[in-house]
Amino acid sequence: MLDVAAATRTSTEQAVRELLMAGIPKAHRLATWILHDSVVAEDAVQEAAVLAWDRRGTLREVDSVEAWFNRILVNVCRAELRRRARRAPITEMEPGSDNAPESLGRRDELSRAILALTADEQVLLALRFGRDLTIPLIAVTTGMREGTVKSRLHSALQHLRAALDAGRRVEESLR
Amino acid sequence: MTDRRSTREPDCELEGQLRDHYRTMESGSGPLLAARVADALDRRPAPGSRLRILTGRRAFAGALAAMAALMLIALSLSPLLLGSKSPAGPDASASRPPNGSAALSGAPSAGGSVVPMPMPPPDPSAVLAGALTSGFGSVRSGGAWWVQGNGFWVATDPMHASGNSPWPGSDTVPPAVFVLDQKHGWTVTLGSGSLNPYGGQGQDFDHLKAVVNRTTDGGLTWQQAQVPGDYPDSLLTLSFVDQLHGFLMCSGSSPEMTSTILRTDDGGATWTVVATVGPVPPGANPGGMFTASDASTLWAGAQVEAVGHGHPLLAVSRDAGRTWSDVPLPGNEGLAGGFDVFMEEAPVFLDANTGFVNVLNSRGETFSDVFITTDGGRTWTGQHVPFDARHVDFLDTSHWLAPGNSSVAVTADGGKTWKTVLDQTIGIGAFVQLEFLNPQNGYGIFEPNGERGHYYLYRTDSGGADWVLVSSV
Repeated sequence: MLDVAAATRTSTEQAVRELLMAGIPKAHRLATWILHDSVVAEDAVQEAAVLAWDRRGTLREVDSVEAWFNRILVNVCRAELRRRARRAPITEMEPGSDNAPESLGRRDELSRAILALTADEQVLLALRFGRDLTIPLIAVTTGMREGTVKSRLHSALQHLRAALDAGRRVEESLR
Repeated sequence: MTDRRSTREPDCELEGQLRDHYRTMESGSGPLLAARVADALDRRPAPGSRLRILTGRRAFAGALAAMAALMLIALSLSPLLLGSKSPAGPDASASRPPNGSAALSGAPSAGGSVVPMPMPPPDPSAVLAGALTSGFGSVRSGGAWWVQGNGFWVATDPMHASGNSPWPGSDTVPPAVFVLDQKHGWTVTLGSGSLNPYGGQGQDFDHLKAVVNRTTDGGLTWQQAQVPGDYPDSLLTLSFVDQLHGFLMCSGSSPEMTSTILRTDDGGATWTVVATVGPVPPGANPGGMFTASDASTLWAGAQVEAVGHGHPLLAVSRDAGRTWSDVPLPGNEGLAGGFDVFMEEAPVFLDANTGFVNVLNSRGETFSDVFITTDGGRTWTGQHVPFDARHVDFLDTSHWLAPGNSSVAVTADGGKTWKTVLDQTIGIGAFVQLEFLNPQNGYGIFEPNGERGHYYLYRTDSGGADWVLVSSV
């Protein structure tokens, strides 16, 4: 006997999977913008895809796969940024020692300033100025309220400007 | 008009730079990534499968839960492990204030459960908390918790015992946990009526109603108590000073929001609101950086997001949260924040008098300033630490340990001089958390390079010179 419910479920799952797979390149771009690291972004995309796949039963409409997957991906990226911040390496044990690892020194000024922001601020900048999402869409993607998105974006820009200024001051003092 | 134009123009310029910046970032994932993802999806178990294949964070959680059981046994058998920092038994713990707090912020709960539950969980998902000495932090976002206290691990999520959906929005809001000693622990989970928008994927809760779960038998059984009030968009942090007296800080998630402090004097069975105050420190909010050093003294540090607004780093209340005042830290008096000077962890108190505040400064090369008090926070002395020292395990005023890359940074003179203790056999990677009982004996969680998400629990009896693998996940 044909199990209609099972057949429908299988068909829906196949559709979800195809949509997920079709969105991988776009997701990787977004993750790279947020994480500033193409390789780490690949890990994030894979983790998000697995999470999404495991939760496919909670998806209400197949049409909303992209937005749903983006939310999961953004959460994975936020977690990675926070983890990265927690794992800041010991750069030197004593003043003057020369065992500092490579860190941010080679990155350009703007990258360095962005990476100094909080995880949420980095995510918001990537969504706004990388993905070019509108405020309402950013709100949907991050799960923040629109007002929160606006105020945090404003803060992010303020902080970014302060970081750029601070970086320039440090460079000038070293000259 | 002139003023407005003068601020808008730099904004536009910066926004243009940002757009160019992202546009030039390369992203060539190609078919390899697609193949990787397809392979990963193929390996996932079918929905409803009785046999669960634990991978990633669930495997990590499950294995840590197993480690938890082993460590419980080890702790109960080994007097060595219950040394000076871990007074055994309720009486000892009751006389000793705890070491801080654990916060509800930023990572999901994880799967796996070993400690027997009042009811079999339908879909085991565990809060994993380890508490050997002091210091807390998630081992990994999306992983386990390693919580302050005196010496036990707990692997349980009491919410599952209730049969409710454990964590809508669990990607973003994990339970807060506080472990006092081998027997006594508390968690905060979502109560009925909590609402997380966007199908449970939202960051901000429209309604957040908290339930405090308490155990007095090392996690074997749990009792629940509803916390009065609704705390939308708040971060919840627990801190207990003994078996009876504790606090719950519900702090707004943005600098302009208020914070509510609740207290219990019966071990968490009932909670009463002490006060709802403006953000503390003023203009900021503590996020997870909240701790109680005695039954009336509370400390709140400014979370990273807040400091950019130019607010004090640390505030204290000496009337159980009713009123707050700034705490001047030497060298940082009047410090108008600057978002590159910040605290990332709650103040740590070894007892009511002896405490530590670790302030990170990322102006140029990141370094730390550790501020120490031995008189209950009335006076502080600063010690410059010439490197980025996070998750420092403070054993006493002299002996501190900081996790590093394949190494541990150790000081025996209160941070004046440091040495790197390196075990060549441990491989390349980083310790993400240390928990030492004394300068010689302790544990470290190690994440090797190239094994993202895989963790190894090591034990040392030589101050980090040699590590013995306890378990890996």
